[in-house]
Amino acid sequence: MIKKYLLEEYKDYLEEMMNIGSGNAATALEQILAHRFDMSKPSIHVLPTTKASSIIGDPAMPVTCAKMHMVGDIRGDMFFIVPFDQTKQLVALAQTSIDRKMKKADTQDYSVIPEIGNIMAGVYLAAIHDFCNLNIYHTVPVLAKDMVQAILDETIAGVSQTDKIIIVIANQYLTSPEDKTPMETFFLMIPSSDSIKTLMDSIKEAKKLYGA
Amino acid sequence: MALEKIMIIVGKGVVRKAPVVFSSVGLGSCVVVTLYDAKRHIGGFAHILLPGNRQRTTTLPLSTARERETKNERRKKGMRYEDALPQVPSIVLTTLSGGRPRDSASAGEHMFLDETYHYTDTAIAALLAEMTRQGASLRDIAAKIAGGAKMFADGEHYEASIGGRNVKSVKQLLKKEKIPILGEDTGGDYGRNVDFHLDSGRVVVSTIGGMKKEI
Repeated sequence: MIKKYLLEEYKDYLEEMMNIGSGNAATALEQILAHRFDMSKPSIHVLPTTKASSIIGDPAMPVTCAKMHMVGDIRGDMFFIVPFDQTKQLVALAQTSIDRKMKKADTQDYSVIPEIGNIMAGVYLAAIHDFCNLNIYHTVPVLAKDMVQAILDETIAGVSQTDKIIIVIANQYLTSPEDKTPMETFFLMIPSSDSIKTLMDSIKEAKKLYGA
Repeated sequence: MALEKIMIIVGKGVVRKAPVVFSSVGLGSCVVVTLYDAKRHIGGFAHILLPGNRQRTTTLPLSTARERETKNERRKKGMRYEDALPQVPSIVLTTLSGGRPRDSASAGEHMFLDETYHYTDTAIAALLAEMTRQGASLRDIAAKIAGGAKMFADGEHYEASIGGRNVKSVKQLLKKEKIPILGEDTGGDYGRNVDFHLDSGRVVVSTIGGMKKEI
Protein backbone atom coordinates (compact mmCIF):
# COMPACT_ATOMS: atom_id res chain seq x y z
CA MET A 1 0.00 0.00 0.00
CA ILE A 2 2.78 2.38 0.86
CA LYS A 3 4.53 1.79 -2.43
CA LYS A 4 1.52 2.96 -4.32
CA TYR A 5 1.52 6.28 -2.53
CA LEU A 6 5.20 6.87 -2.30
CA LEU A 7 5.86 7.06 -5.98
CA GLU A 8 8.84 9.22 -6.74
CA GLU A 9 6.71 11.98 -8.23
CA TYR A 10 4.64 12.45 -5.09
CA LYS A 11 7.66 12.38 -2.90
CA ASP A 12 9.43 15.04 -4.98
CA TYR A 13 6.46 17.35 -4.77
CA LEU A 14 6.13 16.82 -1.05
CA GLU A 15 9.81 17.56 -0.62
CA GLU A 16 9.53 20.72 -2.65
CA MET A 17 6.59 21.84 -0.53
CA MET A 18 8.41 21.14 2.70
CA ASN A 19 11.58 22.82 1.46
CA ILE A 20 9.69 26.03 1.03
CA GLY A 21 8.05 25.49 4.38
CA SER A 22 11.47 25.13 5.97
CA GLY A 23 12.65 28.35 4.43
CA ASN A 24 9.65 30.15 5.81
CA ALA A 25 10.22 28.48 9.17
CA ALA A 26 13.75 29.81 9.36
CA THR A 27 12.50 33.30 8.51
CA ALA A 28 9.78 33.07 11.13
CA LEU A 29 12.26 31.90 13.75
CA GLU A 30 14.57 34.76 12.89
CA GLN A 31 11.80 37.26 13.39
CA ILE A 32 10.52 35.80 16.64
CA LEU A 33 13.88 35.13 18.22
CA ALA A 34 15.58 38.18 16.71
CA HIS A 35 18.56 36.05 15.87
CA ARG A 36 20.14 35.04 12.62
CA PHE A 37 19.43 31.47 11.61
CA ASP A 38 21.38 30.04 8.73
CA MET A 39 19.55 27.04 7.47
CA SER A 40 21.16 24.37 5.44
CA LYS A 41 18.99 22.42 3.03
CA PRO A 42 16.47 20.43 5.01
CA SER A 43 16.31 16.71 4.52
CA ILE A 44 12.85 15.32 4.13
CA HIS A 45 12.02 11.69 4.66
CA VAL A 46 8.78 9.87 4.06
CA LEU A 47 8.89 6.64 6.01
CA PRO A 48 6.84 3.88 7.52
CA THR A 49 6.14 4.71 11.16
CA THR A 50 8.35 1.97 12.48
CA LYS A 51 11.47 3.74 11.25
CA ALA A 52 10.74 7.18 12.68
CA SER A 53 12.93 7.02 15.74
CA SER A 54 15.88 5.74 13.76
CA ILE A 55 15.95 8.88 11.61
CA ILE A 56 16.09 11.04 14.68
CA GLY A 57 18.77 8.85 16.22
CA ASP A 58 18.86 6.37 19.04
CA PRO A 59 15.32 5.43 20.15
CA ALA A 60 16.41 6.03 23.73
CA MET A 61 17.78 9.48 22.98
CA PRO A 62 16.44 12.15 25.32
CA VAL A 63 14.62 14.91 23.47
CA THR A 64 12.31 17.80 24.12
CA CYS A 65 9.11 17.54 22.15
CA ALA A 66 6.04 19.60 21.42
CA LYS A 67 3.06 17.58 20.22
CA MET A 68 0.15 19.00 18.29
CA HIS A 69 -2.83 17.45 16.57
CA MET A 70 -3.86 18.25 13.02
CA VAL A 71 -7.52 18.92 12.39
CA GLY A 72 -9.33 19.83 9.23
CA ASP A 73 -8.81 18.23 5.85
CA ILE A 74 -5.98 16.13 7.20
CA ARG A 75 -6.09 14.66 10.67
CA GLY A 76 -3.15 13.32 12.59
CA ASP A 77 -0.31 14.33 14.86
CA MET A 78 2.66 16.59 14.56
CA PHE A 79 5.80 16.61 16.65
CA PHE A 80 8.48 19.23 16.95
CA ILE A 81 11.53 17.48 18.36
CA VAL A 82 14.80 18.96 19.57
CA PRO A 83 17.55 16.75 20.99
CA PHE A 84 18.05 17.47 24.66
CA ASP A 85 21.59 18.76 24.48
CA GLN A 86 20.54 21.32 21.90
CA THR A 87 17.42 22.35 23.78
CA LYS A 88 19.42 24.37 26.27
CA GLN A 89 21.10 26.22 23.43
CA LEU A 90 17.75 27.06 21.89
CA VAL A 91 16.16 28.04 25.19
CA ALA A 92 19.11 30.28 26.04
CA LEU A 93 18.75 31.98 22.66
CA ALA A 94 15.06 32.53 23.20
CA GLN A 95 15.45 33.89 26.68
CA THR A 96 18.02 36.45 25.73
CA SER A 97 16.21 37.66 22.67
CA ILE A 98 12.62 37.67 23.90
CA ASP A 99 13.82 39.07 27.20
CA ARG A 100 11.81 36.70 29.31
CA LYS A 101 11.96 36.89 33.05
CA MET A 102 13.12 33.59 34.40
CA LYS A 103 11.00 32.14 37.12
CA LYS A 104 13.02 31.89 40.28
CA ALA A 105 12.16 28.27 40.86
CA ASP A 106 12.90 27.16 37.32
CA THR A 107 16.47 27.04 36.26
CA GLN A 108 15.31 25.89 32.87
CA ASP A 109 12.06 27.08 31.39
CA TYR A 110 11.34 24.89 28.43
CA SER A 111 8.03 26.49 27.55
CA VAL A 112 9.65 28.20 24.58
CA ILE A 113 9.87 24.84 22.82
CA PRO A 114 6.11 24.40 22.37
CA GLU A 115 5.94 27.99 21.22
CA ILE A 116 8.53 27.37 18.54
CA GLY A 117 6.72 24.17 17.62
CA ASN A 118 3.56 26.20 17.23
CA ILE A 119 5.27 28.56 14.80
CA MET A 120 6.83 25.74 12.81
CA ALA A 121 3.52 23.92 12.53
CA GLY A 122 1.80 27.06 11.29
CA VAL A 123 4.48 27.59 8.68
CA TYR A 124 4.46 24.04 7.32
CA LEU A 125 0.69 23.81 7.27
CA ALA A 126 0.59 27.12 5.42
CA ALA A 127 2.97 25.65 2.84
CA ILE A 128 0.68 22.65 2.43
CA HIS A 129 -2.28 24.98 2.08
CA ASP A 130 -0.58 27.07 -0.57
CA PHE A 131 0.44 24.08 -2.62
CA CYS A 132 -2.33 21.59 -2.07
CA ASN A 133 -5.25 23.75 -1.12
CA LEU A 134 -5.85 21.79 2.07
CA ASN A 135 -7.15 23.52 5.18
CA ILE A 136 -5.34 22.05 8.14
CA TYR A 137 -5.21 23.59 11.61
CA HIS A 138 -3.12 22.57 14.54
CA THR A 139 -4.05 22.36 18.19
CA VAL A 140 -2.28 23.85 21.18
CA PRO A 141 1.08 22.14 21.66
CA VAL A 142 1.89 20.09 24.75
CA LEU A 143 5.40 19.55 26.00
CA ALA A 144 7.28 16.41 26.94
CA LYS A 145 10.94 15.73 27.73
CA ASP A 146 11.79 12.08 27.37
CA MET A 147 13.06 9.39 25.04
CA VAL A 148 12.08 9.61 21.38
CA GLN A 149 10.59 6.15 21.24
CA ALA A 150 8.45 6.75 24.32
CA ILE A 151 7.12 10.01 22.94
CA LEU A 152 6.13 8.54 19.58
CA ASP A 153 4.70 5.38 21.17
CA GLU A 154 1.14 6.56 21.62
CA THR A 155 0.77 7.81 18.08
CA ILE A 156 2.45 4.86 16.44
CA ALA A 157 0.39 2.45 18.51
CA GLY A 158 -2.86 4.06 17.46
CA VAL A 159 -2.37 3.60 13.75
CA SER A 160 -2.49 0.79 11.29
CA GLN A 161 0.98 -0.57 10.81
CA THR A 162 0.76 -1.32 7.17
CA ASP A 163 -0.10 1.89 5.44
CA LYS A 164 1.07 4.52 7.81
CA ILE A 165 3.60 7.08 6.78
CA ILE A 166 5.58 9.68 8.63
CA ILE A 167 6.92 12.81 7.05
CA VAL A 168 10.12 13.83 8.81
CA ILE A 169 11.68 17.20 8.12
CA ALA A 170 15.17 17.46 9.57
CA ASN A 171 16.42 21.03 9.74
CA GLN A 172 19.92 22.10 10.56
CA TYR A 173 20.47 25.61 11.77
CA LEU A 174 23.65 27.50 12.35
CA THR A 175 22.98 30.11 14.98
CA SER A 176 26.15 32.00 14.26
CA PRO A 177 28.81 31.89 11.56
CA GLU A 178 31.34 30.67 14.13
CA ASP A 179 29.15 27.70 14.97
CA LYS A 180 30.80 24.48 13.95
CA THR A 181 28.07 22.12 15.08
CA PRO A 182 24.70 22.98 13.60
CA MET A 183 21.61 22.76 15.71
CA GLU A 184 19.31 20.07 14.46
CA THR A 185 15.54 20.02 14.85
CA PHE A 186 12.98 17.57 13.57
CA PHE A 187 9.45 18.18 12.53
CA LEU A 188 7.29 15.08 12.17
CA MET A 189 3.91 14.88 10.54
CA ILE A 190 1.91 11.72 10.96
CA PRO A 191 -1.35 11.87 9.01
CA SER A 192 -4.02 9.43 10.15
CA SER A 193 -4.66 6.38 7.99
CA ASP A 194 -7.73 7.84 6.34
CA SER A 195 -6.01 11.14 5.68
CA ILE A 196 -3.06 9.76 3.75
CA LYS A 197 -5.18 9.21 0.68
CA THR A 198 -6.52 12.77 0.91
CA LEU A 199 -2.99 14.13 1.11
CA MET A 200 -1.72 12.10 -1.80
CA ASP A 201 -4.73 12.92 -3.96
CA SER A 202 -4.29 16.62 -3.25
CA ILE A 203 -0.65 16.42 -4.22
CA LYS A 204 -1.65 14.67 -7.43
CA GLU A 205 -4.21 17.39 -8.20
CA ALA A 206 -1.74 20.14 -7.42
CA LYS A 207 0.88 18.59 -9.65
CA LYS A 208 -1.61 18.52 -12.51
CA LEU A 209 -2.58 22.10 -11.84
CA TYR A 210 0.88 23.50 -11.55
CA GLY A 211 2.33 21.16 -14.10
CA ALA A 212 5.30 20.40 -11.88
CA MET B 1 29.99 -17.11 30.40
CA ALA B 2 29.03 -14.01 28.48
CA LEU B 3 25.52 -12.88 29.19
CA GLU B 4 23.46 -12.67 26.03
CA LYS B 5 21.44 -9.48 25.84
CA ILE B 6 18.51 -9.55 23.48
CA MET B 7 16.92 -6.25 22.47
CA ILE B 8 13.19 -6.52 22.06
CA ILE B 9 11.80 -3.85 19.77
CA VAL B 10 8.24 -2.64 19.67
CA GLY B 11 5.73 -5.33 18.89
CA LYS B 12 8.06 -8.28 19.39
CA GLY B 13 7.98 -11.07 21.93
CA VAL B 14 10.35 -13.89 22.73
CA VAL B 15 10.74 -16.80 25.14
CA ARG B 16 14.10 -18.17 26.28
CA LYS B 17 15.81 -20.11 29.01
CA ALA B 18 18.40 -18.55 31.28
CA PRO B 19 21.00 -17.06 31.15
CA VAL B 20 19.79 -14.28 28.94
CA VAL B 21 18.86 -10.65 29.47
CA PHE B 22 15.90 -9.21 27.60
CA SER B 23 15.95 -5.49 27.12
CA SER B 24 13.49 -2.96 25.80
CA VAL B 25 13.97 0.78 25.49
CA GLY B 26 11.69 3.71 25.02
CA LEU B 27 8.52 2.40 26.60
CA GLY B 28 5.86 5.08 26.44
CA SER B 29 2.30 3.87 26.21
CA CYS B 30 3.52 0.39 25.31
CA VAL B 31 3.47 -2.25 28.02
CA VAL B 32 6.16 -4.83 28.64
CA VAL B 33 4.91 -8.09 30.11
CA THR B 34 7.50 -10.43 31.60
CA LEU B 35 6.47 -13.98 32.47
CA TYR B 36 8.85 -16.09 34.52
CA ASP B 37 8.90 -19.69 35.57
CA ALA B 38 11.27 -19.43 38.53
CA LYS B 39 11.78 -23.18 38.93
CA ARG B 40 12.89 -23.80 35.37
CA HIS B 41 14.31 -20.30 34.67
CA ILE B 42 12.23 -19.90 31.54
CA GLY B 43 11.24 -16.35 30.75
CA GLY B 44 8.92 -14.71 28.24
CA PHE B 45 9.04 -11.05 27.33
CA ALA B 46 6.66 -9.12 25.11
CA HIS B 47 6.62 -5.46 24.12
CA ILE B 48 2.95 -4.86 23.53
CA LEU B 49 1.44 -1.98 21.62
CA LEU B 50 -2.32 -2.12 21.87
CA PRO B 51 -5.10 -3.60 23.96
CA GLY B 52 -7.55 -6.17 22.81
CA ASN B 53 -8.57 -7.59 19.52
CA ARG B 54 -9.97 -4.84 17.39
CA GLN B 55 -11.37 -5.85 14.03
CA ARG B 56 -8.52 -8.02 12.98
CA THR B 57 -9.02 -11.06 10.91
CA THR B 58 -7.13 -14.03 12.18
CA THR B 59 -6.74 -17.50 10.87
CA LEU B 60 -6.20 -18.83 14.32
CA PRO B 61 -7.97 -21.96 15.50
CA LEU B 62 -9.64 -19.89 18.17
CA SER B 63 -10.89 -17.32 15.68
CA THR B 64 -14.17 -19.02 14.85
CA ALA B 65 -15.10 -19.05 18.49
CA ARG B 66 -14.23 -15.36 18.69
CA GLU B 67 -16.26 -14.39 15.65
CA ARG B 68 -19.38 -16.05 16.95
CA GLU B 69 -19.09 -14.23 20.20
CA THR B 70 -18.17 -10.85 18.78
CA LYS B 71 -21.39 -10.75 16.77
CA ASN B 72 -23.36 -11.15 19.95
CA GLU B 73 -21.28 -8.62 21.72
CA ARG B 74 -21.70 -6.09 18.97
CA ARG B 75 -25.40 -5.95 19.64
CA LYS B 76 -24.72 -4.41 22.97
CA LYS B 77 -24.30 -0.75 22.35
CA GLY B 78 -21.88 1.48 24.13
CA MET B 79 -19.47 -1.29 25.06
CA ARG B 80 -15.82 -0.58 24.71
CA TYR B 81 -14.17 -3.20 22.57
CA GLU B 82 -11.95 -4.38 25.37
CA ASP B 83 -14.98 -4.98 27.56
CA ALA B 84 -16.67 -6.77 24.69
CA LEU B 85 -13.79 -9.18 24.15
CA PRO B 86 -15.06 -12.66 23.49
CA GLN B 87 -14.39 -15.27 26.08
CA VAL B 88 -11.29 -16.88 24.65
CA PRO B 89 -10.87 -20.33 26.13
CA SER B 90 -8.33 -19.96 28.84
CA ILE B 91 -5.06 -21.73 28.28
CA VAL B 92 -5.13 -22.87 31.88
CA LEU B 93 -8.18 -24.96 31.19
CA THR B 94 -6.75 -26.67 28.15
CA THR B 95 -3.56 -27.65 29.88
CA LEU B 96 -4.67 -29.00 33.22
CA SER B 97 -3.25 -32.34 32.32
CA GLY B 98 0.41 -31.62 32.93
CA GLY B 99 1.22 -28.28 31.37
CA ARG B 100 1.43 -29.20 27.71
CA PRO B 101 -1.16 -28.12 25.18
CA ARG B 102 -2.98 -31.13 23.82
CA ASP B 103 -3.98 -30.18 20.33
CA SER B 104 -3.82 -27.44 17.71
CA ALA B 105 -5.91 -25.22 19.94
CA SER B 106 -2.60 -24.34 21.53
CA ALA B 107 -2.74 -21.02 19.82
CA GLY B 108 0.98 -20.60 20.20
CA GLU B 109 1.73 -22.95 17.30
CA HIS B 110 -0.18 -20.82 14.86
CA MET B 111 0.45 -17.44 16.28
CA PHE B 112 3.82 -16.42 15.10
CA LEU B 113 2.58 -13.79 12.66
CA ASP B 114 3.94 -10.28 12.58
CA GLU B 115 1.22 -8.74 14.66
CA THR B 116 1.08 -11.42 17.29
CA TYR B 117 2.78 -9.40 19.96
CA HIS B 118 1.19 -6.11 19.01
CA TYR B 119 -2.00 -6.85 20.92
CA THR B 120 -2.28 -7.83 24.56
CA ASP B 121 -4.51 -10.86 24.15
CA THR B 122 -2.59 -12.55 21.35
CA ALA B 123 0.75 -11.61 22.92
CA ILE B 124 -0.01 -13.17 26.29
CA ALA B 125 -1.55 -16.24 24.70
CA ALA B 126 1.48 -16.68 22.47
CA LEU B 127 3.94 -16.19 25.32
CA LEU B 128 2.18 -18.74 27.50
CA ALA B 129 1.91 -21.23 24.68
CA GLU B 130 5.59 -20.90 23.83
CA MET B 131 6.65 -21.10 27.45
CA THR B 132 4.69 -24.29 28.01
CA ARG B 133 6.10 -25.66 24.77
CA GLN B 134 9.60 -25.03 26.13
CA GLY B 135 8.75 -26.84 29.32
CA ALA B 136 7.43 -24.23 31.71
CA SER B 137 4.54 -25.04 33.96
CA LEU B 138 1.60 -22.67 34.06
CA ARG B 139 1.26 -23.02 37.81
CA ASP B 140 4.78 -21.71 38.32
CA ILE B 141 4.55 -18.72 35.99
CA ALA B 142 4.39 -15.24 37.51
CA ALA B 143 4.26 -11.89 35.76
CA LYS B 144 5.70 -8.42 36.12
CA ILE B 145 4.52 -5.52 34.02
CA ALA B 146 5.97 -2.11 33.17
CA GLY B 147 5.00 0.74 30.92
CA GLY B 148 1.63 2.15 30.00
CA ALA B 149 2.58 5.76 30.59
CA LYS B 150 0.65 8.77 29.40
CA MET B 151 3.40 10.92 28.00
CA PHE B 152 1.57 14.16 27.29
CA ALA B 153 -0.64 16.16 29.61
CA ASP B 154 -3.31 16.81 27.04
CA GLY B 155 -6.36 16.60 29.26
CA GLU B 156 -7.18 12.99 28.47
CA HIS B 157 -7.90 10.75 31.44
CA TYR B 158 -5.29 8.09 32.07
CA GLU B 159 -7.86 5.29 31.89
CA ALA B 160 -8.92 6.39 28.42
CA SER B 161 -5.39 6.72 27.06
CA ILE B 162 -3.70 3.93 25.18
CA GLY B 163 -1.28 3.34 28.04
CA GLY B 164 -4.07 3.04 30.58
CA ARG B 165 -6.06 0.69 28.41
CA ASN B 166 -3.01 -1.46 27.75
CA VAL B 167 -2.35 -1.90 31.44
CA LYS B 168 -5.99 -2.64 32.18
CA SER B 169 -6.18 -5.19 29.38
CA VAL B 170 -2.98 -6.94 30.51
CA LYS B 171 -4.20 -7.14 34.10
CA GLN B 172 -7.55 -8.53 33.00
CA LEU B 173 -5.91 -11.17 30.84
CA LEU B 174 -3.41 -12.24 33.50
CA LYS B 175 -6.20 -12.45 36.04
CA LYS B 176 -8.18 -14.64 33.69
CA GLU B 177 -5.20 -16.92 33.21
CA LYS B 178 -4.69 -16.93 36.98
CA ILE B 179 -1.14 -15.65 36.73
CA PRO B 180 -0.07 -13.52 39.69
CA ILE B 181 1.46 -10.11 39.08
CA LEU B 182 4.45 -9.88 41.37
CA GLY B 183 5.50 -6.37 40.49
CA GLU B 184 4.57 -3.45 38.34
CA ASP B 185 5.74 0.00 37.36
CA THR B 186 2.98 1.46 35.27
CA GLY B 187 1.41 4.81 34.57
CA GLY B 188 3.14 8.08 35.14
CA ASP B 189 4.29 10.45 32.44
CA TYR B 190 7.80 9.21 31.84
CA GLY B 191 9.41 6.76 29.46
CA ARG B 192 11.01 3.58 30.70
CA ASN B 193 13.72 1.11 29.79
CA VAL B 194 13.19 -2.44 31.00
CA ASP B 195 15.77 -5.18 31.61
CA PHE B 196 14.68 -8.69 32.43
CA HIS B 197 17.32 -11.04 33.82
CA LEU B 198 16.33 -14.63 33.27
CA ASP B 199 18.80 -16.16 35.68
CA SER B 200 17.18 -14.49 38.66
CA GLY B 201 13.86 -13.24 37.36
CA ARG B 202 14.81 -9.67 38.24
CA VAL B 203 13.13 -6.92 36.26
CA VAL B 204 14.84 -3.54 36.42
CA VAL B 205 13.08 -0.44 35.17
CA SER B 206 15.13 2.68 34.48
CA THR B 207 14.11 6.13 33.41
CA ILE B 208 15.71 8.95 31.52
CA GLY B 209 16.79 10.66 34.72
CA GLY B 210 19.00 7.70 35.55
CA MET B 211 16.74 6.33 38.23
CA LYS B 212 16.61 2.56 38.42
CA LYS B 213 13.92 0.58 40.14
CA GLU B 214 13.54 -3.12 40.57
CA ILE B 215 10.00 -4.44 40.40
